[in-house]
Amino acid sequence: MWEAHCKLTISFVFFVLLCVCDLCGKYSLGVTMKVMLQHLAHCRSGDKGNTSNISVIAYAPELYPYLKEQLTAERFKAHYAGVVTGKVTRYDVDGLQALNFVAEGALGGGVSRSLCLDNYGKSLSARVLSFELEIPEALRPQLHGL
Amino acid sequence: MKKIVRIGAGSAWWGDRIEPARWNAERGDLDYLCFETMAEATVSAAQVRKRRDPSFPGYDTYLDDRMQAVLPACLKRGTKIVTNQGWINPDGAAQRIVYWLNKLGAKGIRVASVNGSLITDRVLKLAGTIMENGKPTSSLADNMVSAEAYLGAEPIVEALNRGAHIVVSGRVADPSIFMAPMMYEFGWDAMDHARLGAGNGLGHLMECGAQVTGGYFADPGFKDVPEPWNLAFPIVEVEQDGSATLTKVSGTGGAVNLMTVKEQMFYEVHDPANYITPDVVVDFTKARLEQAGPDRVRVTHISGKPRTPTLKVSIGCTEGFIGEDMFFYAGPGALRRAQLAKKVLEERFKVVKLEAEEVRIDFLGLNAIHGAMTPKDAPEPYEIAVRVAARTKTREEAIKVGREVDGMAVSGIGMTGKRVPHQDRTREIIGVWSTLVPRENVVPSINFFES
Repeated sequence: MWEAHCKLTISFVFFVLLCVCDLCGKYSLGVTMKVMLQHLAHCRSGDKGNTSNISVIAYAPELYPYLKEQLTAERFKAHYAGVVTGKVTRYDVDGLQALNFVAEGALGGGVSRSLCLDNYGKSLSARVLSFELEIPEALRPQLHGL
Repeated sequence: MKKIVRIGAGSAWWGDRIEPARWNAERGDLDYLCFETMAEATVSAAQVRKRRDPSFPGYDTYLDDRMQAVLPACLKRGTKIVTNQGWINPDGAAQRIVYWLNKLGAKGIRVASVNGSLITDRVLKLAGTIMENGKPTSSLADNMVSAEAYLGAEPIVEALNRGAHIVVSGRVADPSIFMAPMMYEFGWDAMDHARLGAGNGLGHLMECGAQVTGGYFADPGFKDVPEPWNLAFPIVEVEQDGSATLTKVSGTGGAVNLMTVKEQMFYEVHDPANYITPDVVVDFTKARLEQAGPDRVRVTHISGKPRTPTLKVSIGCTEGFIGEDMFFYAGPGALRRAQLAKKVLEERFKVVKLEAEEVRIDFLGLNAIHGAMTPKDAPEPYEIAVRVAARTKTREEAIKVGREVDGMAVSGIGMTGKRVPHQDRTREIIGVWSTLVPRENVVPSINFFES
């Protein structure tokens, strides 16, 4: 009986702990804000044939986890819908707080064949600046251009 | 052996500015000044030009300007020069450099030319498939203009070992141009992939010139750059173990900081852990960067993996023509007039039976750059250029684009602005494809010339 009571109590404590953890998980951001990527990161695009690579580099180490979590390859591709026609691969360089997106089929058939005025896609990286992220309000001092 | 080798950049592409190369030569206290002057299609474009104009010498059209700008200071300081300005005629470029040396009265300067990257006559036998589409390279046979392998640093190192003061090559991988002096000065072995990884990684940071010193970077209010009209080209101070400091000559605009270095590190890189060059596979993922002072960034821990058994080959092919032109609208209603103009062009192209593989009509100011990504709610601009381009098989078809834009002058929409027809509005397309060949099938050769 005592043993059963103990088990019940321990289970209950675990249950409460789990609930608290769950709440922490959901609300660990505290007060959040929506912000355009241009305030968190800078970027540059480069060309190789019909592939564009676009690096996204956090302005501060504290901002990097939010980029890594929210700017997935799938969301990146969706943000470039209509221009990037092929696969998007994301390479993470945690040590330098950088994500490198390799977007295939992004240059209208290749630099020399492209009918786009910006044959090289040099201005393609600017598109990602408008991607929206949700970050803790507390990180506001780390943001650029606000 | 030197403790530190100072290597400066003299150009990042054919059209680059000349003056920053002179600053590096005069004020950089350089052991080496390295020039990169080729884009993917440079060799093919040079071949096409040579076919049409036999008097075209086949090397960098700015060779004279660049050499006149830097040779006096380089001779004074004893700065050696490594450059890929040889394009399709490295011997001719070397002889031209000797001409300038003689003019300056410099005697006994050895200029080496590195040949052997051109494999147009053999590529179909050596290479199997096209990397971009998996088709056999023989499918390019009819339209092929040029095929050139990307050589590594080794032939340049050999030329330096044989006493060259100036080395001028054809196609050599961009980072390798900058690494060759490191291998020569520090005696790095061609199989020492740890050091070559560091060296080629540094070469990659240098190969685009001002892109690491504040060029292709400034964004007002976000990334501000001092005096962006006055940018210097980079200098790297390399140590025996491949650690280095990136910097630039003082008294110039621009910046060398963690942001400029990171942006350039990933420029045109796909997998940062496996950046393939002819000499080594570079791994940037463990790199450490540290701001060591104003406009000084310490770069360490770029690493490397053994080189691949193949060399990349670029195959340039003629693939038809592009015809393009533009005309303008402004003021209230600019967009609705532009939209009607687009409709007129589309109908006119039917009337004149334009045979095009692709036609694109954009509103510059609204959607000509980001195309389909332009937000639906983007505000209507005050001014719009209607820009039209078509890709065609023949020049005759491409010419129709400009001719129909001409027609918009008196037969078009109200308040159409136009340019004076001032240039050939067609251009030839040279498509570039890639393939791989076994490295032992590409054997460079070196010739020497002396002032």
